[in-house]
Amino acid sequence: MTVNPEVNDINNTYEYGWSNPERYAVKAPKGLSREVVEMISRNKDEPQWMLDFRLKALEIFYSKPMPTWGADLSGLNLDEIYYYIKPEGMNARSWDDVPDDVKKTFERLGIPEAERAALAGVGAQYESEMVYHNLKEEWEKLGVVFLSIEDGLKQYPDLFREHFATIVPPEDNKFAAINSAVWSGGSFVYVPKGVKVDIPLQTYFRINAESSGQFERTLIIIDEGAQAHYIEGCTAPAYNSDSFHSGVIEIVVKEGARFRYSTIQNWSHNVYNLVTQRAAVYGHGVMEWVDGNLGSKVTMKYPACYLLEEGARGEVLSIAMAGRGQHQDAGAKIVHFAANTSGSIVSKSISKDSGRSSYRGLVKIYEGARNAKTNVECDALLLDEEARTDTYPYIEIEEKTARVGHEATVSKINDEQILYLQSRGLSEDQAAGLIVRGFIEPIAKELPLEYAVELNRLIELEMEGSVG
Amino acid sequence: MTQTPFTTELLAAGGPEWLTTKRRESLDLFNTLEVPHEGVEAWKYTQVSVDFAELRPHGKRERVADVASLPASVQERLNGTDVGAFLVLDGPDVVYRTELPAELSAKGVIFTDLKTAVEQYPDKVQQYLYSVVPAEVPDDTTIAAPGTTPSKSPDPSEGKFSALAAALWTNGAFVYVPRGVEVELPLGSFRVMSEAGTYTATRTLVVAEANSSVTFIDEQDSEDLPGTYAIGAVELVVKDGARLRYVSIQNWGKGVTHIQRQRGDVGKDATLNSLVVTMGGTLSRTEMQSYLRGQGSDSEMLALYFANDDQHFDHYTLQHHAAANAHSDLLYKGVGDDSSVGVFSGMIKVDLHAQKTDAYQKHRTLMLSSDARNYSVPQLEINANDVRCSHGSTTGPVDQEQLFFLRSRGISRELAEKMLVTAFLEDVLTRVPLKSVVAYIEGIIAKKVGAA
Repeated sequence: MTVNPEVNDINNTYEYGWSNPERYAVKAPKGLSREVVEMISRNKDEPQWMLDFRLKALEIFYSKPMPTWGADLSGLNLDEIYYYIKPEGMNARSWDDVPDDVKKTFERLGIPEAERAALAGVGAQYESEMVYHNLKEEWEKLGVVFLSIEDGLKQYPDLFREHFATIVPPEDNKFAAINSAVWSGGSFVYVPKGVKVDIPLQTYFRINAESSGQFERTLIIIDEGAQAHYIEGCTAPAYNSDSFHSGVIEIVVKEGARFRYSTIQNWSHNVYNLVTQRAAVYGHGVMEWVDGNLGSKVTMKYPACYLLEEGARGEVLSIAMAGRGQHQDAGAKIVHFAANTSGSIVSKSISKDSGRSSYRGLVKIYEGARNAKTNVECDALLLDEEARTDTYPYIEIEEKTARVGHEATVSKINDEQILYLQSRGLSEDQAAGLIVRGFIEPIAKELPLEYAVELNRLIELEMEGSVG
Repeated sequence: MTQTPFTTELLAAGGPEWLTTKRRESLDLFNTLEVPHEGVEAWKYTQVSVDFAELRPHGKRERVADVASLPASVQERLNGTDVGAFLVLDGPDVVYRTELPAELSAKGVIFTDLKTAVEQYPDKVQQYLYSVVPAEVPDDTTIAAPGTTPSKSPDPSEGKFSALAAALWTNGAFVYVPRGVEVELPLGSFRVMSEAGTYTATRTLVVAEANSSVTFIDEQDSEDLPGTYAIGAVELVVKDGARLRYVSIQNWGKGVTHIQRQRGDVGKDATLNSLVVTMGGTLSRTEMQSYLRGQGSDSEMLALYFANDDQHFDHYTLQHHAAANAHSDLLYKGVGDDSSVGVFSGMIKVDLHAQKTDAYQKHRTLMLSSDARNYSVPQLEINANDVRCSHGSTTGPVDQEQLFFLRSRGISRELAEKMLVTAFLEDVLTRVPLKSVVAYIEGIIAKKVGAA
């Protein structure tokens, strides 16, 4: 494994910046083309309808302009990206079958250890493909399905086709279109009626090669009355050139079901992270997004809950931390289609050193969605005088019984609090770290303990030397 | 280049060379710009479909000698006003005016129409005209730390209508208050229109020199006028330590499209209070912008509106903190009934180094109908850390508990609702110390609510 010393100065606190030498079974040529799309499909031995879908999506991608309403994407050169890199050894069910250096990578990231300790199942994606996917037997027996997305398509073709691209169609936006054309990897999850998976499933995404793109596609179906929690983590080596991650996550929460999707996004600071995540929530179902954005150069990500039937509920908890050179354009969408639906968005952001964090969100209440209500709360913490924050909430209401509230506040770290903590023997950095942890506590406490600890540790690392 | 529809009017406008040059440049700009479309964030919820080639200017009306010869609605309005002096414009030009009290003229206060001012006070007009509302959209791009990702700049098409107003304004009010002079009674202009299917472009310039104070009331009222356009620009110069209160009351008849940019340039320790009232017209876009240029400057921004039938009201506000220690406080309250559309986009911008900014923004909407639409976009762009900035937006129906209370006192549901709507809107007026204007606005609210 090599460290990339030339970029250490911009990523001096990023501890996942090492990379492996590149050894691949297949590597598509740089850039996007019909040939690359066909090559991906051929490598996956897909049915014709999927190839047709990909090619149509490619056309949609070409026909849509780059979005200019959000973060600055002018530095993203789509011609310089490798769209498909297939690692050696795929989809093992045992870590022993994963190639050595890849296995070492995930060991270093602590994944097998976490799997043994606290998880119901683990998937690991390296470049474009899942290299490992395993579900503990007890859950398999209950009919829970946790597969790579490719195996989902092969083993559950009808269930797959019934839901795939129905929640995020390729027409949705330019990046959903590019994902639809070149998707590779990701998870396929099905939790049968009434089954409650009480420990999390996790998938970990790792980009290794320089200038590569990762386009995972995840489809999760939580059947009536079922429950599950899914965690996603991601890192990449720190390179001078930019990498590109554009996932699509589709989730179906059926009647009375409950699902939580947690992300700790910690890409290196050279990754453009442009993701579409959306859940369709049916009668009295509950969808919760817990979204932590700490890494990447630019993130544009607005987890959405479409509340389609009476009593559905959507919640988004979002944390963003932006340091030098980073723009976290994160937020949430709650869209009410039915009566007595409710939502809640809590967003907390921390900016420092000219980093920029933006909240961008939508609350929409369609006519007929009687007595719908959503509350939005955005708090921004600015650590120094160059830090910046923005709030761009869109509230669209077509129903007189709607109740929507939005509040946002901006503040700095309170000098008096720092002084008080210093008087108790803490250093200034420690005091600031403690205050920041208190600020994000309402969200951190929603994560499983190990992840809350990890989140706090990451923030502590980011905070080093940031005050004073 | 092909003849544009407005060339004739441009040539007829006349004036000194600096002004004709400015008008020509503005028309050239107008011709290069598109009408802002859906993709332009600042116009996301409001589209204006207008065929400029079909527009003809509002006809000129003769001056009248006394109030009795003015349209009945204007006479009625003038009865209740306590303004110290006023202008009446019908369409493009002044039809009646009163003079300032002699003691104010003696102190150097100027109150006249802009066309006359160009002739009589050319230096003052040239110094300030277009300085606050130029032809193009003002560049309010937030100033951020070097290295941070850039903020979005305004879309050039946001200057489409201001370019038109810059090129083709025919007349409007001009107010100049010298240093240290306090004008107690408000000054005002009453604008009417009387010809359907036409356009009128007006421009108002108010200059409050250092430590002076003045109130200006800008009222618009007409009968129903299908296919009629009122395009306006209002420039408010508030020098160091000055206090300016600006009130705009838009009560056009049905069929009128009202598009007006109102902007204040607020100096050190100066105060700009604004009140925007929107009741009339079919499509109304009112921009109220406070550019807080000076340290310690202050802006209070109030508005109330009631949209019913097929009215579409768009309020676009800006609190731009360019200096430290400035304060701004916005309260906009609106009601949407029938199949109306209400839009509120409000932006607080804080530039790098504008420390100790204290900015607040509150938007509240009452929805009376499920055919109505309400779009609210309260925004922040903050580039300084030692600030207090917050905003809140709430949308909801009439409070059921309050309704229940009134009904338990034997008041019918219909009347109780009207009372609550009236109270909701009049709440804003408690912050406006202008007795006669407030009484007038209360009358308009009552008519609109149906409680008159």
